[in-house]
Amino acid sequence: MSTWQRIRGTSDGRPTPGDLVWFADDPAADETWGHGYPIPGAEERAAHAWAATARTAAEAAGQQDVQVVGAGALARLVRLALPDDTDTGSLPQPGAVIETTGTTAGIKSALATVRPGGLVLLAARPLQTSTPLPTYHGIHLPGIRVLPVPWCDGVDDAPQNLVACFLRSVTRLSGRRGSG
Amino acid sequence: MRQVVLPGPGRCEVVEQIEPPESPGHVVVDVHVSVLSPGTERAILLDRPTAGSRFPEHPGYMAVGALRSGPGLPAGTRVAVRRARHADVAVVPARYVRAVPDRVPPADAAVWQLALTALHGLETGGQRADEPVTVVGQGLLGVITRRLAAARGASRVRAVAASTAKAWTSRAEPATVFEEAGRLDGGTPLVVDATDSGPGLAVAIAAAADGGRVVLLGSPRADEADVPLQQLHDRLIDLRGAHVSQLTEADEERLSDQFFALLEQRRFTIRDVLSDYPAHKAPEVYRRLAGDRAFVSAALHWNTPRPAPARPALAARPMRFGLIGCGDIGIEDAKALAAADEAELTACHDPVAELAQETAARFGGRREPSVAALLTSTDVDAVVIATPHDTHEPLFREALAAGKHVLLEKPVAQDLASARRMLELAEASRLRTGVLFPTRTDPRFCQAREALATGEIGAPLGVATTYFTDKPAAYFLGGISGRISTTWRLSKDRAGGGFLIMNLIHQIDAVRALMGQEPDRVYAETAPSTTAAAPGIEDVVSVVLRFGTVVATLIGSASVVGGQGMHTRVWGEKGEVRLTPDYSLTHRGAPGPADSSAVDAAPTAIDLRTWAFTRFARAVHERTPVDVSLADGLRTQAVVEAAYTSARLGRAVSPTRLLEGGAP
Repeated sequence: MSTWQRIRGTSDGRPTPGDLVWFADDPAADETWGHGYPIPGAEERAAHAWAATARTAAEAAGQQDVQVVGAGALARLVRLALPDDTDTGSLPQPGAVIETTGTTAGIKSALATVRPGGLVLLAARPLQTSTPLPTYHGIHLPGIRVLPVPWCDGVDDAPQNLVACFLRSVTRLSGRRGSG
Repeated sequence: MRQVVLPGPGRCEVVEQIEPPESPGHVVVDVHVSVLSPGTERAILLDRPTAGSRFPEHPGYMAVGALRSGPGLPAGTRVAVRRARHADVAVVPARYVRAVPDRVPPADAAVWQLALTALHGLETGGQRADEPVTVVGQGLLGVITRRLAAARGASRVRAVAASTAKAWTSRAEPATVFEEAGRLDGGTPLVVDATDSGPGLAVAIAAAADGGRVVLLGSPRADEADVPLQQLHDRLIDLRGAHVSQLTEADEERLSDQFFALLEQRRFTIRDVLSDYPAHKAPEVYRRLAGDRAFVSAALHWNTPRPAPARPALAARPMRFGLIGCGDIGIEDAKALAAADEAELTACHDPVAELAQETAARFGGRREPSVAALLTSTDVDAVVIATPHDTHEPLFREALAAGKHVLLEKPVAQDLASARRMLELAEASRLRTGVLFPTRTDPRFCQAREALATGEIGAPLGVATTYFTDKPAAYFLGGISGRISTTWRLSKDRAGGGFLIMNLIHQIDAVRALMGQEPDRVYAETAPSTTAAAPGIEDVVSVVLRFGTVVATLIGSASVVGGQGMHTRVWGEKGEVRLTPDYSLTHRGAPGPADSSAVDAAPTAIDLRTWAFTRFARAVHERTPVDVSLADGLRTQAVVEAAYTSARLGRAVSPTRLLEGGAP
C-alpha cells in the first residue's frame, strides 16, 4: 500500500505524514505527484509500483503509434516498456498518448496530440479533483477515448529491467512539500 | 419555397426563398415534416461558443417528405431526409434519403439523423444485450438514445436529469426509471451523457459503476468544462467521446439499416414527445426552445392541409381555451390548441396535478388547482372537456353556469339519458356548445361528402367501414400513453361501454353525416373484451344501419393483430368513394380513380383537432353553426344506445324511438 500526494513548491520538508518515505515522479517539475511508502523497503516497493504501472500503461496502448507526455520517472519507464517501434517521440497524431504528469497542461497536451478516434491513457492520477478540458473539441468531436491506468503495486510481477531503472535514478524526495 | 431562417441571435423568421437548383446525384424532396434538433438548434439560436453560428443561419437536418425527382427511388416515394433544412423543399445527395416503411409515422422516421447519433453512441459505449444503461439528459437526443437502448435489448434503462421538467417523457417507456441527478441509486456499466454541459458529464461519471463506460454523446456547448478526472481515474471509468461525424459511410449504412428495421418492427417511436406546429409558427417554437425547460422538441408541418374554404384570420383575439382533463385525449387537445391559429390554451386542470403541470409545460397556459378555479378564470372563454364520460354532464353544467362556451370530447355522455339532459342545458343557454368528432374536419371526409352530395357516385347503395386496432391490456388501466393510472375504461357505468362507444362511434357519426339522414333501424352484435377483463366492456362489434334502401355495415375491434385502423368506402350506382386511409373517387367503368390523394397528404390526428378548435372558435366569433352540435351528438349517441340495446335484445332497434323516449 502506498499514499498518493500532489507535490508542489520548493520549501524544505517532506510531505506529511512523516512515517513514510516519499518519492516524487518528477522532482524537477513545478508540480508533480508522488507516493509515500512505509519504512523499511520503501525504495523497493516504489520501484515495483512505478515499473508495474509503466508496463500496464504500455500494454494498454497496444501496438499502435504511442507518444508519452512527461519527463518524470513514470514517463521514462513507460518509454522503456514500449516496443521500440511504437514510441513515436514527437511525431504528430499518434494513435495513443500516455499521460504521466497528472497536470492540466499534460492532459490537455495529450488530448491535443492524439489523432481522432485515438486513446489517451491517464497513467498518472490527475493532480486536481476537476480538470478544465476542451470536452467538445478535445474528446467529443474527435471521438477520443480517455482511459485511466490503475496504480499497480507490482510486488510479484514488476518487470525487473524497469525496477532496476527506477532504482538507478531514484531520489528520495527532499526539498519539496506535499500539499495534497 | 418557405424556409426557417435565424437572421441573428435569438431571432427566427419563416421566409420565402428561391428553391435550390437540382444537381446531379441529388434528389428533390417536398418536405412534409421537419423535426427540430433542440441541442444543436438552441446552440445556434443562442450563439453558443461551440455552435459556430454564422448568421443568417438556416437550421435543421431532419425531415420526411415525398420524393419529387432524382436517382434511385420512384417519384412520390415517402422518404426520410438527412441534412434537410427546415424548409418545404430539400435538395440533398441521394444517399441522404431513405424510403419510409409503410405506416411508420413521419416524425418517427424524420429523426433518422439523430438516431444515427444515438446508435453510434451506444456502439461506442459497447452496449451489451441485457446490460442496464443510464442516459443522462432528457432532451430529444436523450430520449431517442434511451428508447434505442431499450429496443437493442437493455435490461433496464435509467433516465437521469438535473430536474423533473422532462420526466414526463419517460412515462411511455416500460423499461425506464427516472432519477434526479442528485439522488442516484447506484451505477450502471454503461452511461451515455446526452446533455450538452460539463455538469451533465460529471453526473454521467457519478452514474457509472466502477470500471464502467461513459460515452460523451451530447455536444458540449462551452469551450471548456470541469471534468472530475480524479474520480474518473480512481474508479477506473472509461470515457469515450462519440460524434456522428466519426462514422464512415459504411457505418452510416449499417446503423441506418438497424434504425429502419426497428421502425418497421414498431420497436421505436418518438412522436409522443414532439409538439406539432404548423411551419409558420416556427418563431414560437424557437422561443420555446430558448426558454421552456419542459419542451423537448417540435415537428414543423410544412404541408398542413387547411379545411376548405380558407378564410382570413379574424381580427378578434384567439379564443382562450381552458382544458379540463389532461389525460390521453386531453394532452392531444392541448397539442392541437398550441398549433391552432384562432385558439390558444390558457389554463388546464386535472385531478392529477402532475398531468396538468406537464400539459401546461409542454403546450402553454398554466395549471389550475381545481375546476372551479379554471371556470372562474377571466382569461378562459371556452372549455374543452376531455374527461371520463360519466363526468361530462356535471362539468358541462358547471361550465355553462360559469359562462363558458363548451366543446365536449365525444361521446356527449356515458348514456342517452345523460346526453339528453345535457342537450336541454345547451338549448337553455345562450352559450355555444359542440361535440368534438375530429373526422368531421378531415378533408377526406369533406371530399367524400361533397362527392355524394354532387351525385358523383349516383344514388348510394351501401357503406362498409372497419376500424381495427390492437390495444394491449395495459390500455384499460393507463390509456394509450401509459401516463395515467385509472380504471374508468373498465366500468360500463362510467364509460358507457367499450369499443362501440369509445371508437366505433367515430364511424357511426361519420356514416350518419355522409348519408345526411338518421338510420331507420340498427342491428348489432357484440362480444366482450378478453383483454379488459370487464363483463360490460365489449370488444368485437358488428353494427348494421339501415338508411332507407342503403345498408351500412360497421365492424370494429381493439384486438386485431396489426390493427390497420379505419377503412371506409361508400358505393353507389355510378361509382365508389373511399375515405380512409386514402381518399379516392372511382367512376364505374373507369380504369382507375378519378381523384385520389396519397397517404402522405393525410392529416394527422392533431391536424384534425387543430381545425376543430379553429372552426369552433370561428363559429363562436361569427355566430355560425358549429361543426357538431349537441343535438347532432345526441343523435349519434342514440344510434350507439340503439346498438347496445339491439345487441342485448337480439333484434333491430329504432334510434329515433329511443330519442323520443319510446320503448325499443
